[in-house]
Amino acid sequence: MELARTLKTLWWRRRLLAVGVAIAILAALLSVYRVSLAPPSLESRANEFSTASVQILVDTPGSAFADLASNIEPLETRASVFARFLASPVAVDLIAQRAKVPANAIEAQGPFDLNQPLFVQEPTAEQRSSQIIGEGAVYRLRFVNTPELPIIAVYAQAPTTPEALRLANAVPVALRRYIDGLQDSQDTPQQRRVQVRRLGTASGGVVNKGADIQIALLVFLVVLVGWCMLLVPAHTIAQGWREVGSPPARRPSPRRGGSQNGNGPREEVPTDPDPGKVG
Amino acid sequence: MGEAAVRPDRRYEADAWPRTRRPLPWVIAGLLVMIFLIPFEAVHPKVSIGFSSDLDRFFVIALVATWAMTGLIGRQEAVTRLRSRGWAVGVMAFVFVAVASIAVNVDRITNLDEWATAQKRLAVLLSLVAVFVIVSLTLRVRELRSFAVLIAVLATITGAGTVYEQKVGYNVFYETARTVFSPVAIVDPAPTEISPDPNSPGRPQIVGPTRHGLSVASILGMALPFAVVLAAMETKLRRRLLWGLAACVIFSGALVTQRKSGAVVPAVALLALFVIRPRQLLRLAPYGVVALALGLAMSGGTISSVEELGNTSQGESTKGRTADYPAVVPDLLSNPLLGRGYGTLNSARSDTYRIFDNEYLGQVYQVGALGLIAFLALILTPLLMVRKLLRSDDPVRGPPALAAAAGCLAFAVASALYDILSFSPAPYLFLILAGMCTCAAGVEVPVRRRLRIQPAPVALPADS
Repeated sequence: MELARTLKTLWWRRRLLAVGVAIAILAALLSVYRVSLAPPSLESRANEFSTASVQILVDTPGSAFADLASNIEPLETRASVFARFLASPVAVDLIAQRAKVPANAIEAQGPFDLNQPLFVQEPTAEQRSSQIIGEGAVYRLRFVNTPELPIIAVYAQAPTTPEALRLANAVPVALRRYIDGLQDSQDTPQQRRVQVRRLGTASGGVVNKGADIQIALLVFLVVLVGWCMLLVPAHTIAQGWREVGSPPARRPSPRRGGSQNGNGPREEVPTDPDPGKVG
Repeated sequence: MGEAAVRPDRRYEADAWPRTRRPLPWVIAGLLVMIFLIPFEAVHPKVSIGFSSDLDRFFVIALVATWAMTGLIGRQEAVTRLRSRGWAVGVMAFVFVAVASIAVNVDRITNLDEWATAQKRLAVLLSLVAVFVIVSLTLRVRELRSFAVLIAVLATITGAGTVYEQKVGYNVFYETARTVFSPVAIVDPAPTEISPDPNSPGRPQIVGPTRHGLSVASILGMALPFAVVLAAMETKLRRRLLWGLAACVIFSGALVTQRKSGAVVPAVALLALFVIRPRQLLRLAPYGVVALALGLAMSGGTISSVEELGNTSQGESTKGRTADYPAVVPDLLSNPLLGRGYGTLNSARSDTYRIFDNEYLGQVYQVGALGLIAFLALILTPLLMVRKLLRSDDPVRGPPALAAAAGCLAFAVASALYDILSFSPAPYLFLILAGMCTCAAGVEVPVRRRLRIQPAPVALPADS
């Protein structure tokens, strides 16, 4: 019965409930839009984003994988080094040029050594500090390298799917250009050159579709429930206040200010200012 | 709030669980059975409900649906239950801070792909809140003792099953759940790991009906005060011995998990009881000595959890704990009030994930200083509600309130020892105990029936 009583109380206070609904709608809007007063504008907070992924194979000119006699261990080591290099500012600059996005808007991380104990993997205060700085970046790159394979997995994130695909596809090109430049500068013979091969083109799509609606709905419900929770005790307090404040015989009618006994409005009877004094 | 001056009618008093047809107390009893006997975090029904498909969500949905149906179409009760002022302040404050922390950090949360994790954690939080609110609104004072007995009995079964698991290596809870739920759900394999070589490095995994030893140690520690209080309040020697034996089994179950929490949490709960009611509980001292001897016998002559307290060789665990403190500083400084967002710690993200061996620290990290205050309010509110009842001689309210408050205190201590909100059983049990505290501190007032006054017949003058 508690639920029915609460709903009844809310119905009695329906005007205030409507105010609560308006406040909840406002809060929900603010959770998914940025509001500016000067100049007046409503800008989406971009809660939806896209990701794309691509894989890079570190290989020999004649492809070590097609030759059973080839030892691929040196390639695994190189893949691990390249994965670390890709997260460096030099590589991020090259990727940014290729993807046509500002370099300072890209946050690159990885690779992470998952074979270590958890307390070693957990970020230290220094690592967290730098992570916090990069958390606002809208373009994100994550490099994953398994030590037993000469493959680097690239995960790119951007506000739209075409941007995410462009960012992911820019990584193998940037890495190839850097390594080629390095090999050219030291005249590395062709047959001893490292080959960076992209395994197919990047694929991707929108990740958290509907996040805006979910967030707005959550904020709306919580604010509305909070408002209702304030409204119910407020109603009880107001009722108690009214009962204490006015004596029962003199309590005015809730509707017209007069009595409802069918005899018309109650007459105002002047009270004697001093009952002891007889004039 | 004092006790009601007017007593409810007899029919109302007789209609108390388990002698009732009201569905809600039965659903709450079912929830308790689920917490103590079913590894519900490992049971995944084959039906999905959108955001999550764990067994407890189905139970909570059933609980909410039953409550809503009863509230809307049920008969008006003969009694109005008035709860102490501010009974839901802690819970509501925590929910609001949790949602506010997400709303404030929404840009960053979605950018780092943490929304899905936060959504799941929020669903769990809302489930917990629903359980607390419904238990608080549903339980009657007359039912508190019956629920105290149920908790003690269920904890005894859990304790016995956990001791059996440690001895034989067979997890009876997981295996039974697999047999029972196989047509409708997938049950994960038991995480039990016991090395046949006692000198092998690493601690064994003894988990009972939970996912982790810490979790089972916590629920047993929180339930222990119920068995002890029932033993203390019992007048017949045979029953007192039985409750004492039950307490012994529960304590042994917590100790065999070989976790420090397995010794600390029950010890704190017992200490709280002895501090609050020294006279009544000191009578149990001789039984306590016998229980300790029995506990030693059950755990094979050694109490490994106690040994763990003095064990300094757990290097990784200690390093992990101490590293947590400086690691939260950058986040705390960048988001001091509302943290980085409730439930945003994603175990799939190796670059940011961190296991906090202290829930208070975890809350500071995720929901900031306001979140920590709200979390403390959540834990302290039930204790404040029943503070006047703890030494009460009222047999209906006093003992259950004392046991529930000691259980809540055990939860507060367990929260300082591991990330307790990451495992559902202990938070569920805590909020049921908090609901029991709220109920014990409430007042039951008979409803004043509105009299239908028939207009008095007016005597008309007889026709002349």
